Amino acid sequence: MSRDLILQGISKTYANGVTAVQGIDLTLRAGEFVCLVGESGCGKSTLLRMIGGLEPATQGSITSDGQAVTGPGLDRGMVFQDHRLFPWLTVEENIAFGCGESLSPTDKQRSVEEHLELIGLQSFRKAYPHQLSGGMKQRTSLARALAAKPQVLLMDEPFGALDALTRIHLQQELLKLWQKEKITVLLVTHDIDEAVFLADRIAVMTPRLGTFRQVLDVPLARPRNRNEEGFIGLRKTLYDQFF
Amino acid sequence: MEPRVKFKNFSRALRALLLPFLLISLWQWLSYLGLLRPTLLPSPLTITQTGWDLLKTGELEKHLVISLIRVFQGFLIGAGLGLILGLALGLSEKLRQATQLLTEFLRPIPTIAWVPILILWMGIDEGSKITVIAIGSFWPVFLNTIQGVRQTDPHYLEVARVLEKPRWVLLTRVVLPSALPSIFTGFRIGMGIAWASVVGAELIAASSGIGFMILYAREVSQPDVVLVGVAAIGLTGLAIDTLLQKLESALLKWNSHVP
Repeated sequence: MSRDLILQGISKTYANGVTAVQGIDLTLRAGEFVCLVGESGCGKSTLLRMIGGLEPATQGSITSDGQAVTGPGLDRGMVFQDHRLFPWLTVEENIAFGCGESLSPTDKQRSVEEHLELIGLQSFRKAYPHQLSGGMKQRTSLARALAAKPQVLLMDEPFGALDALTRIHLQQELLKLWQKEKITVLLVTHDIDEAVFLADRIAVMTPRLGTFRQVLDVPLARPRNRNEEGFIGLRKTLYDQFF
Repeated sequence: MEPRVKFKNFSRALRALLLPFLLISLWQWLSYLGLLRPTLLPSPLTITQTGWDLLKTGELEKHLVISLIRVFQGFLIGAGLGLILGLALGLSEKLRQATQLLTEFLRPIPTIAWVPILILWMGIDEGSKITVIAIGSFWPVFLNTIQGVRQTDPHYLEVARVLEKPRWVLLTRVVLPSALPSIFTGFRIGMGIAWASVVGAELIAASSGIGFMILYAREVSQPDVVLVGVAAIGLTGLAIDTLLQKLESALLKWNSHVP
């Protein structure tokens, strides 16, 4: 059984006739980090939501963990741009919400501890979301998604609402988590720098057509330096696709 | 507490008390000048004296406690039903459609209009009085619960869907907490209406209660006792609402900074 995430001929047409996504083929190998880059409204979020099982595809098939995707599943975790933490739950309670329902209270507690440590927010365990900074909220949101032990993490512009410095910090932390947890990540972004810094492969979406213009390999070794030649060259290649 | 905060609270209290103080002073002054007839509007000092006497004999407390018990019983039934039915209707679009006509027909009927039919059905005992109060407190809780449940942010529901949460977790961890501020507003309005309708309920052949005290005093032409009763209703209502507000901010700590 393949643990890859396989998209075959995915299309999405809304009832009003607008086509958001058209004939997308992509295979995410287990443990791979793929970024989906495109302008606003190019259908990248729609594609992510279809993989998450939140919206059905009009055509094509999605296979995750060897099974056809027909709805949400614990094998696929999601992190949204608006952190979506429950304001009535503390940091630890929000993370606990991510844990599977079958977990015993002790296992749940252990998982919460583990994920609090992972994001370094042990001292904020009792804080409510409104008491956190934007970066802390997004870290907690990430921990909540990871607590469900997904094989694939789907991230929809997770750092889009953060300031530039916090964003860079979180990108580095995300890479560490990805290497530690050995999960597959599909991250949607419109930040070319972010894509080049994070991804093994970058899929560039065409505006309005809902198709891939190109799927690009990133042959740079990690940790990546944003100012070295290879990085700059790749960034230029990507910029040229848009401007 | 910091001195600055203390001073701020003090000046706020002062500002709140200023207007009542001025009005009562004016009232007392007009009474002193003989411009107000004591048989119609006794002076504040007379009313205070009567209130004090009624407190000393324990009569005022006796009536207040009896009314409070009625209000709490009625509120418990009305708010309880409002909460349960509100949750059910808030969650189910079909149930809402099925009951829409009925609720829209029943809702505008003033509570007091139920009194005669309730007397026919239930007699003039406690049952009919409590039912009047229950009807009064039902509507705000019912309507606010429906609204609160329906206004649950779909984004939060999506999080629960992605994490494959069972229905009861969705209800207890997402929908209910999200609706709680709205439900609490319903509780506070419902309690206010319940307390305000106690006089109406005690129109039903009561022989005790604050409403009875007022009505009886009117019959025997004791305007000071009437006004003591009115003031007691106002002050008790204020005290209950303050308690509910305290309870709300203790239970909904998270809500204090949410936009």
